[in-house]
Amino acid sequence: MASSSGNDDDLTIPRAAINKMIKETLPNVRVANDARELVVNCCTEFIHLVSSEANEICNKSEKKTISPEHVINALESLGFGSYITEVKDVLQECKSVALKRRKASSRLENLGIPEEELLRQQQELFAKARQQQAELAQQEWLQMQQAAEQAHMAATSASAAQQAGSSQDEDDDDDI
Amino acid sequence: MGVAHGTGRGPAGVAQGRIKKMMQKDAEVGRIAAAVPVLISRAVELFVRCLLVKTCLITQAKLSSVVLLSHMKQCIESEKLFHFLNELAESATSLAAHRDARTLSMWSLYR
Repeated sequence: MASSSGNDDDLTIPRAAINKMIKETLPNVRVANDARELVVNCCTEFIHLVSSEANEICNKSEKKTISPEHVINALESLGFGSYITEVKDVLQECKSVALKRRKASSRLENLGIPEEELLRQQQELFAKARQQQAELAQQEWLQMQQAAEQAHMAATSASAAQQAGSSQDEDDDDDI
Repeated sequence: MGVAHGTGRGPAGVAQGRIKKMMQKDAEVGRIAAAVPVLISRAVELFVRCLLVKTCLITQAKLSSVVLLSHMKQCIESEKLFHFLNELAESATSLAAHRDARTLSMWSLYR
């Protein structure tokens, strides 16, 4: 079965899920194929039934979002009150999972450090970085200066040596 | 209340996303809290279990080893809780009967 088959108008619970439910409920019992198909369609009807009823209850409550409470009341009013205990258990699970997830994400965000402390640490890091940048810049400036001076000195002594070139040679001969 | 994808480990748990889409096919339905499809998936499991068990009683009463469409139809008709399924069962069985009748008449051509 292609997972992208059909348009939105053919929405049903997947056949595999239904087969699994049949196997779990009636192990070792053969169930005809057209009976299985009917179960699939019955689920669709059931979902629309509960959905509709929950929506009506929601409208009467002047709330805009269908809540778990609306669904529970819908089951009751449709005659499926015997399902409510287990459905409420699922609701509890949902709430505790959501709670754990919120706690875990806030723990990760703060690592236990309060916000003011985090800010202070950040400022410290920025100040340090600025200082390092300043020192680096100063070093580069000094190096440039030194290099420029050396270049100047080299240029000066070279031209002086050229001017006094011949007299220097005679003296040398005498010494020897 | 937060999202609850972690729960829903039953066989219909995999269909939570689809259940939400199915609910929203109804133009009247607006926003749905995140936990709602999870709850409905559980309700569907309980409903299917109920339907199957009651149908199977009829299957056994008829001394059949296979659960047939006709047993399920009979279950739906006899159970007030399942009367919302009457039309569905009706069209399913008439379709099956039509299909069987066609098959029989085609067989006779080949004899």
